Amino acid sequence: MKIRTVNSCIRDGFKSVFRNGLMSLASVGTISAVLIIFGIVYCLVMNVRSFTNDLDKNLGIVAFLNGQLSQEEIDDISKKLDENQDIASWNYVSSDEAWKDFKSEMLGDSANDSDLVEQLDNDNPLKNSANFEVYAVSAEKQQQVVDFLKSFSQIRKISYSANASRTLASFAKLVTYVGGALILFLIFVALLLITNTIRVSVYTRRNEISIMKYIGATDSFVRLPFLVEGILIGFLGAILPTALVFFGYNALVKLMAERFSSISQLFTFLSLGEIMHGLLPIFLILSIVVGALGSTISIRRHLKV
Amino acid sequence: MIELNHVTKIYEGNVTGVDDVNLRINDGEFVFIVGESGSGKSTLLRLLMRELKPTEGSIIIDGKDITKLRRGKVAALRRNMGIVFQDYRLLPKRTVYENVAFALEVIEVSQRKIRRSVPAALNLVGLSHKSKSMPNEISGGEQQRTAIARAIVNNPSIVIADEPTGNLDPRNSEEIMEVLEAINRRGTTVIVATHDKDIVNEMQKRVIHLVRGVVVRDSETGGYDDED
Repeated sequence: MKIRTVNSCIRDGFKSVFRNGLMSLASVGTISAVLIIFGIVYCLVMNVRSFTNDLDKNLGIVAFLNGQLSQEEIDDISKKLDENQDIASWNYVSSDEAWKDFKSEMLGDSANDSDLVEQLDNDNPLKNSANFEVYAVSAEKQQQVVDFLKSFSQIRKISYSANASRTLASFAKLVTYVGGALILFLIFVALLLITNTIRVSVYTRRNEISIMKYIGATDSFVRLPFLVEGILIGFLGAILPTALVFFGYNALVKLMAERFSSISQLFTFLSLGEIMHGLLPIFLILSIVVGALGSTISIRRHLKV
Repeated sequence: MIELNHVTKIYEGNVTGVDDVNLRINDGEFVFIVGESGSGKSTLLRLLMRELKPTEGSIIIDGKDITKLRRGKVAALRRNMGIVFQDYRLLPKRTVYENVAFALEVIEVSQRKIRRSVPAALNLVGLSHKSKSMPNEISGGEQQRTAIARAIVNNPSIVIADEPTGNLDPRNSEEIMEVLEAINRRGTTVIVATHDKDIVNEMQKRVIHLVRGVVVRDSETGGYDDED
């Protein structure tokens, strides 16, 4: 297709959006509404996921070792932990370190002043508490890591919060699935709306389309203006939701922090930049794809002349 | 040359459009396809335009079997055909000139060629003086002449007209047939489907008579109801 023709088709598509004024406006409005809901669901899902990920990182597994192990045995376990893909990080805590941590946690600044403590330093009460603190890559992987740790004969006891990890994993899954289903449904609604608008546009120009086909216009020539119209409607529909998320997100986070301070203490909301970074390309691709697909569906029947 | 070999078209519900039609139309011929409403005239034309595919048989145009054409190639076939409809099918928001130019714009002809070809086509149909008029400002006959100018502006080798005088009075019908005859004299094959007995009888051209989809008469020259 010649550049001149492409330009003229694009111009026609733009003109058509304005020619079908009210219908286009209704479509842009409904697509905006769909994308606003999409944006809200997206912000919610992403924040919940980030929240559960944060918690995952704090849900450590403590594997207590049998008495004092040789450096060779510790190195051997360390190597195997490094090789396991389900483990995000681990940390070896010797019995001396365990005692030191305990002291500073329980006694604070007076830890080194007491005689009793000094005596205990020489006879470490936590000498059987050497352990590995292991963090799984996600809450879902925690049980697998526990099973893996159980396979070591040098580990005598494993301490972890099975219920917390399981609950978190299933909550994250639930939010993702429900959010995903809602988003899919909204995409379907948007597609339906845009298809109907273009269908009206195609219907008002059906005479022109049939003449074009009879005088030898190619399918792509006939299709292009409608494709432009659909994409433009989708694109215009994405402007308002983008602006709303851009200006509304920070305000909402601030409001949550003020009104429900306990929530903001519990976890950190994703930044506007992180949200926009993910949402903007989705809005753009979604509006273009839905617009293009809507046009293609609407015009298909009319090309069979 | 156009050749139809054992062409049958059966629509959904087992309705026969045309039944075992065998025809040969030479380059530069003027052919009337006659018959009552529902006799298969329009089906035959739609098969030639490749708007329909036959249930059986082959249709060869300039050596190519158009029944085997891929959808993407139909546009190229139609660029070599001018099509005229009973209801003119003009674009109401475009002038006479723009309606004719539209046929060249959609096949991406250069503006220079459009500026040269459109006045020539309008001149041939005798509408040069109406080039700036809108379709609703001219008579039915003039609208049909505009449609003919649009059909021939690309110099097709075949012009297909489906009931071109169906909406016109006898005087305008006569004028339209004169224009089609002038086009035929330039060497263009003209195929006209009609049930207008007067113009067929008047022009004495080749007549193919269809009854219930079957060719019952194919006369070299003659009137509507002549026997072979």
